[in-house]
Amino acid sequence: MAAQQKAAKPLCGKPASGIFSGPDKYLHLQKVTVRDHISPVAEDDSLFLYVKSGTGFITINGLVFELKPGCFAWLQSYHVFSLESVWGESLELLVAVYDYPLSCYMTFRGHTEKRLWSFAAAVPVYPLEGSARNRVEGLFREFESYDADQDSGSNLIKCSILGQLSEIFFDLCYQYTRVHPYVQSEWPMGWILSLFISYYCSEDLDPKDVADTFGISVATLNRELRIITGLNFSQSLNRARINLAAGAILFSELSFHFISTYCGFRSEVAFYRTFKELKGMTPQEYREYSVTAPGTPRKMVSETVERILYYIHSNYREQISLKSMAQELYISENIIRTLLSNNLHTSFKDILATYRIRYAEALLVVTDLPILDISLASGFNSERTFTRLFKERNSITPSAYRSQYLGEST
Amino acid sequence: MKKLKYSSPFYSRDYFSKNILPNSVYAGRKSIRQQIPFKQHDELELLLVRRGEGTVTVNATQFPIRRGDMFCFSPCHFHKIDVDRSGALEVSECHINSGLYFYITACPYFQSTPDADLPYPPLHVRLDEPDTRRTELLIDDIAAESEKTDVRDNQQCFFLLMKLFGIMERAAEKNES
Repeated sequence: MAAQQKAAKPLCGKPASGIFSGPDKYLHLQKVTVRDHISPVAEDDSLFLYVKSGTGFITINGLVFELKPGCFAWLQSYHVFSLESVWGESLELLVAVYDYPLSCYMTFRGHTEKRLWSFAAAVPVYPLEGSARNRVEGLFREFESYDADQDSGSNLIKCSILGQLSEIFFDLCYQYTRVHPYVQSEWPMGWILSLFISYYCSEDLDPKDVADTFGISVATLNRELRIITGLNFSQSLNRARINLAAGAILFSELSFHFISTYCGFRSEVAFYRTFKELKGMTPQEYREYSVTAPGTPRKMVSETVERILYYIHSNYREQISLKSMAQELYISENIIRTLLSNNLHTSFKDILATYRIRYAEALLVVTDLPILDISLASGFNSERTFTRLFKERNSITPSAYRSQYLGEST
Repeated sequence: MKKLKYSSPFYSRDYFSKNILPNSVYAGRKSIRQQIPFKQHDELELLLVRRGEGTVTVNATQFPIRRGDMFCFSPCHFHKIDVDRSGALEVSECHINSGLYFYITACPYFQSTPDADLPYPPLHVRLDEPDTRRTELLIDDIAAESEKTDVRDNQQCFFLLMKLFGIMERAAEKNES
């Protein structure tokens, strides 16, 4: 399992970005052939990389790993990497972008801290053999078979495949840390520093404090980082923070003030300035751009909307009101109103009535209960309200609806 | 130096709190020899016909069924299954919580906002043979995963369910066109 390592190269140039990731590359399988050398790259999204054929090397944050057919890697935004094929050979790679908003959505349901630690303490490249290799290769092949399709269904399948790849990778990391518990002590200082910055970027990090934590001077800190990533402390920190912010911006109900604080910026102005510098557009422009991006638009739906929908859905047959729901969910009525109209273009009353009437429609044709019983069973207060709403939506009275359907079936 | 907190996007902080959605999943296969009378439940049910022929009645609508037919029943769908004289009907079914359904439709790349609506009228698709075989295996995998209760929080199960909905969505779009 141990990755082969050779001495790090002395200096890393300023990394380029946007080579493997970008809006047009989401949910697409890229086939990359390296014939010679690809100079340092630092992407804003994470990448899955699988070696199809050929041999070569990948240098990640100063550590060199050998690449051969069957190697599986997961590169993060804090990895600055360069690729190199063995002389005279071409290295064929499959690359799939797993962007952070997506991975945030997928792992929403919880990663234990233990797993995260094993992820941070393990290496990003694994040579695979046997069944594990077949599984990963199979998933990449499946991803490829849906590559041309852009419809919602195929997108869901592709997301699911990316999720499964990440799951396999987490297992590999866990096994690795079990076998090599103390390998971190051999890693270059810069590797640990960039990991540290990326993990704690939302805190108020001061170069002096960080240097003290590792027992080095600020000058050494900057030098170590520049040698392996081509960026100094504040550049690395800003990159990490802006990346975090870019994910949070997709949640349309979060204010920029909240995001800038959440990502560790001291002032909103600093946040705007840094964002524009690194992404080439303002946060507002970025938000609009990602919702309407050509190819694969992305949108994050807030957890609160999910909770509201789930609550209505599980209680529609009870006597619920906007007020009682607000109390149960600890959300104010106004927020519920705004969220529903912004996200779903509908209101609490409308959703509730739709559910109730659908349930009543089913009861009308399946049972022979009197209309009064049906209206009470579907959560309405009286037969009159039920009939009125039913007529509004179906332009027919409940009893006419019933005889129409029953007439058909006999 | 003071104690630091994670800020990795992997580990979302309190704002994106964890496990808000209940995620009980039940999946399995069964063979049906006689009529199953009308039933309705609060979970969503996905039904795939593996073998045999028969009829599914949803509310007042009848659908003849054979291998490759797939349905998604929401709580407003009372459904009844009749078996043809030819013999047993073999089906795979998968029950998921409606909260989980809302969550799956909230996928950032799913090109619609989460539906306030559950599928209505009942989503009925006919899968082609390769997709049917794929779905069979998928539901068997989900059944195996859903029985596990380890630290992963059934992450894998969630991914597989997502794929199942993906296959159904694709087939529905194909049927439309």
